[in-house]
Amino acid sequence: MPTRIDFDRCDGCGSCYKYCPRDVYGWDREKKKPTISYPAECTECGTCELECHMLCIDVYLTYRRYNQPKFLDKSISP
Amino acid sequence: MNMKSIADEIIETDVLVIGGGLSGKFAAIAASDGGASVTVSEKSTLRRGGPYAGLDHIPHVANPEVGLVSVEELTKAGTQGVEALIRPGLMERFARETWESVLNLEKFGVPVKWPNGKYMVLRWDSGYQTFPYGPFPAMLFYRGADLGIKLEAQVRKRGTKVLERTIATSLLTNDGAVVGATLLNIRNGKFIVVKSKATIIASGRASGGHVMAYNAGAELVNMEFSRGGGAGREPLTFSAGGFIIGHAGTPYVNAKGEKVFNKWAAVIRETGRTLRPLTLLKEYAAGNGPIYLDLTDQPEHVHKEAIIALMNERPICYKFNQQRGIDYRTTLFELPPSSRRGGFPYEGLGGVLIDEECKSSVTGLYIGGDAQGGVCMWGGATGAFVHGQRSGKYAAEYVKTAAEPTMDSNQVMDERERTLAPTKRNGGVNGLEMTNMIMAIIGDYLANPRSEGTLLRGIERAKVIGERDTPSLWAQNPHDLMHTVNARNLIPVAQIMMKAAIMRKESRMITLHERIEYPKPDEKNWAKSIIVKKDLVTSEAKLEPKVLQAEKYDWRN
Repeated sequence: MPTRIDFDRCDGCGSCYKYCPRDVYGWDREKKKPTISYPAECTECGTCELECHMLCIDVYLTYRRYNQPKFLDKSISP
Repeated sequence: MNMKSIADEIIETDVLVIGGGLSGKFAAIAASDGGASVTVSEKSTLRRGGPYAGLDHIPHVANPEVGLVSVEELTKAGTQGVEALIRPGLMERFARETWESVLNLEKFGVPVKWPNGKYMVLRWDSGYQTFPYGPFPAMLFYRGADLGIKLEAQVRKRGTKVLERTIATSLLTNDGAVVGATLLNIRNGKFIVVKSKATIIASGRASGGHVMAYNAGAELVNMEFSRGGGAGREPLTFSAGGFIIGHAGTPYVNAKGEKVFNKWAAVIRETGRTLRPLTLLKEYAAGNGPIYLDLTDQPEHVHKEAIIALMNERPICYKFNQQRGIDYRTTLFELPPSSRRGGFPYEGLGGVLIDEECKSSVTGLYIGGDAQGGVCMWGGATGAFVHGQRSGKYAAEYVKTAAEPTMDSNQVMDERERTLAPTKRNGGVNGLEMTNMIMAIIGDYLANPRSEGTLLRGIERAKVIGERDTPSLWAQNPHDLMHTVNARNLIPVAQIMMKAAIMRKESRMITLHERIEYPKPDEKNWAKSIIVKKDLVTSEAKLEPKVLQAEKYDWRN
């Protein structure tokens, strides 16, 4: 699953559901919280994280820390 | 038959804009200003539809008065190497209208000036050559982080009807003219019919726009100059925009720690490809991957500029890194060679052939933005601005004299049956899976270098999958239904691209079309474009090589 929501912090503003370009999020009307309805369609564009004013969405990246070249003592982005 | 019993909603409008990205929003604004009533349909939302990166620079602008290149210079750069493939005159007109789009942006409240009141012309002080034409002041910075939001406000202010979460499934035709479109809401599955005097396709390169226009009888051009997959986007940590190629001198390093960009500058100039895909391709092929973006040895003022540029170039990057404590001063950013995620099914030079009014070869059908072909080898954001506003302007002019469109209810009924059929089955092939299959065919059989054998096999595979799986497509929810529409639309495009690639017996712009049997460009026989048109009797694609120059489009007069 490419995104994770911290539901404790989420205040149910619905901006992820409103603005996700690929419509990955659904909406749980009872709990008034988003659901991740179409995870396979996430393109890691980051719009949900950008729009979330409670900073409770974490987008997982396909390209993560791996294959770090030996010449580097610098850090590599996640 | 009564139309109301076929459609869940019927909308009548002067101009329908399909796609609400940069070009679609510009088209809607221009058409409203021209006095037409406008409806926009967008797959996502107007606020976040279209590009989510590339918002810190306007790539190709001409205006010598502010220190940019002249119209003539920009025209020359845009046609260099592709003279044989484009309609002469169109590039010059594009170059001439670029400044107007900058003024429009300024009018809409998008910052395009430094605090000292001067336009943000990109400085070429790095000495690197990123474009085939070398250091060349044709780029303007702007603060585009809120571009979509500001353009959306302009669209809504003009009373435009906006249909969000809605895709187009087909264009409706009557007597050789486009009279509307059928749409599908991807959240509630509603089937919507729009009756319009003029229709603008502003759906980018690969969202079904090509095939809808083709099915309506429009001519496609240069479709063989395509390849599978979209340009890989950087991960959320960094996006290389105008800042990277302009200020920071493109600091790409390979796994051995070598600065790699300069190594390939000559090849880039020769092949006319932009820097990143080619540099990455070559370095990965040489076994030097992964490639990183290294800002660690840049001076402090560049770091400060990097932060401002990134907050605009791709607004999420800065927030993303800040939330995770990633510092531009000490961190290397890995650049993936390609990315299926967020990539398009295909990319390239191909598109719907347009004339000087952005009109396709079909009456009532206009093309804005990236879905068009035969103009220049790059357009970028400027292409979206310029062609968006021009298509909107001429569509609005056309509807003033256009006759009231009449729809063929049988055609609407057929399209409804065809679109909604997957919901009526109990089991079958998933639309996304089928889309992925076709994308794999495009990726594998259309990959460069190409040979006739693999291309023929690719056409056969696409045909087999189309005939076998289309009748058993299955949709359990509106999203599945959207994917079945995408899959259905992708098959003819894949076949057209491969047929055109077989026909073009030469190599030209080798990252887009390289034939093993014919490794050299053939200026004598192939300095022309392949026009693809649907034969309305046999439904087969009709391909015809044609010299576009033969037609007169001289804007100097």
